[in-house]
Amino acid sequence: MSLRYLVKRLFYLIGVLVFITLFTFILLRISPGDPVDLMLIGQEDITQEDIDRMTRQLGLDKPFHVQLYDFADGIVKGDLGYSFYMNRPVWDLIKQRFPASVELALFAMFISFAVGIPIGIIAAVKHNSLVDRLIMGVNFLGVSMPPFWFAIILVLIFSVSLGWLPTMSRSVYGMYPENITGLLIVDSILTLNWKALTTALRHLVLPSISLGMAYSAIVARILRSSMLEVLSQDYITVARSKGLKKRRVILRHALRNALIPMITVAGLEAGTLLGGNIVIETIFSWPGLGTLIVGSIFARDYPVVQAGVIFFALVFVLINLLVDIAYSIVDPRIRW
Amino acid sequence: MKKNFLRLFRNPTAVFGLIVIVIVVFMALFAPLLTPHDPTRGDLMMRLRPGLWSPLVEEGYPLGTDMLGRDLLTRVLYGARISLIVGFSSVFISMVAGGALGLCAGFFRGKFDDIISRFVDWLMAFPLLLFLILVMGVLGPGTWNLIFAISLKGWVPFFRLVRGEVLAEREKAYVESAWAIGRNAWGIMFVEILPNITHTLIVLATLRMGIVILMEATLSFLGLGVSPHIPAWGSMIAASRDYLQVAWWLPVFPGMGILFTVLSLNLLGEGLRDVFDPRLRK
Repeated sequence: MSLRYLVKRLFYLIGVLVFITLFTFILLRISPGDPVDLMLIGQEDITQEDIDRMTRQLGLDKPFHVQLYDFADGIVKGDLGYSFYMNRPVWDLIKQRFPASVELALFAMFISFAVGIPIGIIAAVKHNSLVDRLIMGVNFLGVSMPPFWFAIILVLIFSVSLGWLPTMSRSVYGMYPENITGLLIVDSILTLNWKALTTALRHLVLPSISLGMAYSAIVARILRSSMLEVLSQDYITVARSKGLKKRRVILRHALRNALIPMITVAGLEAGTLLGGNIVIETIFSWPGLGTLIVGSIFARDYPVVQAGVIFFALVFVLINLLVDIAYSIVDPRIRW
Repeated sequence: MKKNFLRLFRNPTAVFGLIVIVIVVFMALFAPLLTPHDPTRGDLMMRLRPGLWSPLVEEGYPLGTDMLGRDLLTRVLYGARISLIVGFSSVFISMVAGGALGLCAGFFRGKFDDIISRFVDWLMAFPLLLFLILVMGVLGPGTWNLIFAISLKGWVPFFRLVRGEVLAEREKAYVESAWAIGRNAWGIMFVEILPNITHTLIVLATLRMGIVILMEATLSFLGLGVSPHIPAWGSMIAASRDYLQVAWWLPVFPGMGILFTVLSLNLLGEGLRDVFDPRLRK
């Protein structure tokens, strides 16, 4: 990886962040609802003075370019502003919510690979057989299914009918482990709190399956095609003709090269999982970044929406950069 | 072209997709003739009745009723309208806008191409769902707002596809001969090049329809799609969440509507791709 390429990517990254910040900022200022009105709804004896004072407090009386300058200035200094609604620094809210989203995304990724990789291998090895066709058919179904609907079907089966699994939040009151990393699974293992661990795991099952299944379909499909490509290459024929067991050739020789495109899938998944679990978080009342952003949009809590969107975008772009770097390490043929 | 369409009919999954799509369009167009009920008005005495699978079924309500006593089948039929309108309109707008910009960018290159391509790079980095939630949160729910919001980012894939194709086409001999016989730039773009890339546009448009309908459903589910009193599949599923204990049919049937529509568009799109793109033909 050349330095020039890295610098170019860094400029691209900055460009993207500036664009998304500006876009979000302008969009929120031209929006029709007034946050001050929304915050004062239901309160009696409100005078014009109250409204003016509140507008001043929130900085909404300043001209547009001053607001933008203050905001940009804050970001550079690491200050993302103050939530109108929850009366706390936005950074605190993000720090508090982010681990929940990460935990869910990691488990969903794990499920998508645990399910997708074996299926992809089988489909490629049994290419064009009935099994392959069946797998690809189910796969198509998986890609076409809305994840939120799949989640509700899972809830209907495993919670409503069978009563096996919880459907709300990350754990139950009194069952949270001591906060160390914010990841409940890690924290409960670190504090040897097995009850907390099982509770947290049970809460993770349905949301992470709902999220992961759609991606397992994508994983299986891409692995199948890259596997098919690898299997047709000469070194596989050589390995087979040396008399190596078919199983060994597939798992040791073919799979290792076929897995390279999985880096892209993993990166793409990590990025979209963090953004895409907005819907799944809403369904399972998961206290992550997704529910924070959706809630803040409805409440017109500008600073939280702005910071949340920019934070998401930053994670997304950084992951993409990591994917490119990982590629050049894994596959020495690729040079930028 | 004609031969290609005949080949499409030899692909069973694509034919299945086509048939389902035709049925869905038919249901959406003739919804008022297919059902005697009003999708928005219900009979509170008839709340949450089960459908044909139960002995308690009420005559005339084959899929049961919802929490306000409205016929579920009627609402699913009308829901197809919204999905198809939003899907078709936003893909059409995206295709025209993205296609035109892509044609110009690929043909003229230069500054114009540089600026748009840079802008596209930035727009691509904005996660789609996040973008739509943000824009819809600001605009407020509504069918036209939704079509606008989706098109605002939806033109990008069309732009990229057309630009790439035009870059390859403009170097070919037929374009050169068109210059030689004195055609002007616009004539070459629209009369010579455009017909040669229409088939890839059709494939992309079909596949995008599926994605857009999924997005419409997702946003309606979050309360950020079409306005709440219009029966849309996504908002029907959202409303059913409080009644899962007593009425499993409320989320199941609208979801099947989404699933079959999107699935058939994907199957049709893949079938068209096999037919039109000889590189992928086995």
